Amino acid sequence: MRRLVEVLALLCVAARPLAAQQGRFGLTAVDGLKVGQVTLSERPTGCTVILAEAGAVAGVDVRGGAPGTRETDLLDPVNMVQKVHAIVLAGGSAYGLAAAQGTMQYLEEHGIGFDVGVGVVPIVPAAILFDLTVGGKPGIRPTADCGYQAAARATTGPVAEGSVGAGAGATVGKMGGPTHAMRGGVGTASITMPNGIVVAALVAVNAVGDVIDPATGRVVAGVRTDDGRFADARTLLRGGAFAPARPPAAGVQNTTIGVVATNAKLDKAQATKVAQMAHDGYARAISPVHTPNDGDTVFSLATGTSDVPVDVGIIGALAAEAMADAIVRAVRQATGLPGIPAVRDLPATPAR
Amino acid sequence: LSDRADFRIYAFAPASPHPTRRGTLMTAMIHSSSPLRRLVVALGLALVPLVPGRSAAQGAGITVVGTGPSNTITDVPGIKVGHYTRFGDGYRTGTTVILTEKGATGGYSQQGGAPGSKETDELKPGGLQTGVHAVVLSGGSAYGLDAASGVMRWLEERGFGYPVAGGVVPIVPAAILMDLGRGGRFNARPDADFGYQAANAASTAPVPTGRVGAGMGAGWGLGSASVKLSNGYTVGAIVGLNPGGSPVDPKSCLPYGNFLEIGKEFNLTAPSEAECSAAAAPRRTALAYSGYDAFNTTIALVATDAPLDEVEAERMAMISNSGLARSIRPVHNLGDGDLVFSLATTPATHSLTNADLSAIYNAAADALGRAVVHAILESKQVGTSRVNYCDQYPSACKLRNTKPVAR
Repeated sequence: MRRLVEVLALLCVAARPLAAQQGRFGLTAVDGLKVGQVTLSERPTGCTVILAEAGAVAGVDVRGGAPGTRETDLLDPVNMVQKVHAIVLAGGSAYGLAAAQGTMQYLEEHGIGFDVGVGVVPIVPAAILFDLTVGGKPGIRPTADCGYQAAARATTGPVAEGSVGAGAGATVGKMGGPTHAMRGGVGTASITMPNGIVVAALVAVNAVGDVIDPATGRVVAGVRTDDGRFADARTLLRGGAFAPARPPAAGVQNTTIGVVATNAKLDKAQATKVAQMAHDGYARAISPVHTPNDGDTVFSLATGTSDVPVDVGIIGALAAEAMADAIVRAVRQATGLPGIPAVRDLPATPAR
Repeated sequence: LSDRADFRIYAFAPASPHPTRRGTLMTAMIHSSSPLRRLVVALGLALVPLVPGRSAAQGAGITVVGTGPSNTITDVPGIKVGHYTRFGDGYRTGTTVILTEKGATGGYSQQGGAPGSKETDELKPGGLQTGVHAVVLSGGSAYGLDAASGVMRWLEERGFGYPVAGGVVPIVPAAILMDLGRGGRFNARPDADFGYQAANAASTAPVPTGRVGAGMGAGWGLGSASVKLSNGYTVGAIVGLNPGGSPVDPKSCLPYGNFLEIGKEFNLTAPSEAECSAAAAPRRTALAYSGYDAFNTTIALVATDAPLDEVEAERMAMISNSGLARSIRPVHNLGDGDLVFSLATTPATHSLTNADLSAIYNAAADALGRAVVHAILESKQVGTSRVNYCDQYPSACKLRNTKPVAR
């Protein structure tokens, strides 16, 4: 069994250099996508914009119980509009949905959108995460300006990870309440196949649960005991630490939002399937996940710049792999705030 | 024994706070099969005429008492409505806010092919129950979703919303219809300020209808209707009517939804053949199922003061789409983003019977169909908009009340 894990881990590692050879890793390894992020450091919070200026076929899967979303009905495969022009991820809870308005404005100024004859209507689905209680200034949250600036800054270059953009105010491991939490953040990862197909993920991790390294099964970041060790939410749950009369103290300050993308050609129904399978990456790297207090949402994008025939099941499976990888990277690269340590702030104890 | 226990549950379960639960009892009796049950059914039927306040004893026993006092959605206790309308300087559009600032139970059903929506995932049952503090119906296509940000600001300033540490998060689902450019300027469209102003204008007064709010730029304007049921509950509907299809039957030139009339709320007569045939040519084109364009979408909301939970609210929205199906043809087209929200203004108590629920759902569907007819009748011609129905078919409207329709 251990050998199998090692082989799988090796395969994962082996997949990375291919992308690295091209100097591209993360969501922008997918042709046709740009990423821009704005961090409002005075709280902190922020927004992350994924631009698909030529349009990308999109899907969505909402699994958490407290989502804050925009334009997701449009993504239902039975509905008419096939392509989106951007996806916006933002902090600020439902208020942060306003960021999408600024991205729409940017796109309209550049003539990008669904053509309605007398003008364009940019299609910009969005999802938010709850970070209002982080930083002590709940009035500071992403506005339309955040979405505009992030779109204007979007590039095909490497995606900044850690405490930036939509993940700037993110936290994880909140089963013991905010005082025992750790920092979440933004992570990205990609897998480049020998045939040129790229599958990538970008995620802002703000889960109530712990982040688990799927390769080891160990907690990477999560709820801490009073003396600063990992309590392991799975152990707490099985031990009966929480009951209806004593639920986890996390409230609604949660939600993990992400995007998976590929350069393959997919239709809307296939893109929806890929978004659904990408949630398996959440399931492997976050525990517990998809709770009523998480608004967990995954968007999928297919830019279709590659003509290589693909199997949607393989794209979905790779999306789950990339997503799990991105989640672990997000917390490993986060930076701490007063009272909320990041992984890098913890003493290096190999036993973990 | 289990048979009898079952019967007792139906017959003697605690009634909801509303006075007339007897329809429920009747339903249980009518579905009885044992001799004892049939005896009780017979007794029950015999007693019906003695029950005060009961208008009819048929079917499930829950009947229409009449329209509410204003025959608009604000007849539903707990519902406020406000419009903000802008006309001129390139504008012909607006925003309508349905305000339930202390929180209501919400649902939705989205059946058209080109929706523009916000916070609808939050309405799906099973998640965190936050309550809905307002719903926005707006012109402006996807750009108009910004109106909801202004409503959130209005609510936050007043401390309304889902409470979180350090403040509130107002839950404000929204849907838009496509009216871009109808006032002459493509970028003259609702923004956050429209939502703020509409929330500021919200009241329990009779809802202004016609060329207002989300109906200003809509093909057929905005309509509303309400109904009072014999089980004590009120149901209402409001609609921004902008379908790719038509709400007027080309054969009779009467609104498709005319048959849903309560009392003489429409008071139409069949228009003369001369008037009807004069308008026939464009309507035949509309019926050819080829009139696709992107400038559509009917957005609506149904509400009740019955204590629905979120699953029941979703079902009310789902069934209410049938109200659009009965009053608009073709409906739910690819270019229509048709979406119906639902709100229940009383916290769920799980005291409603299936008879109650069926009655409420169907009353909501019919109220929405009736709201469609009210939109047609009450929308005057403004700018480049369609001619008012009664101006196009004067003979259809000769019996209508001469009082001004605009309230």
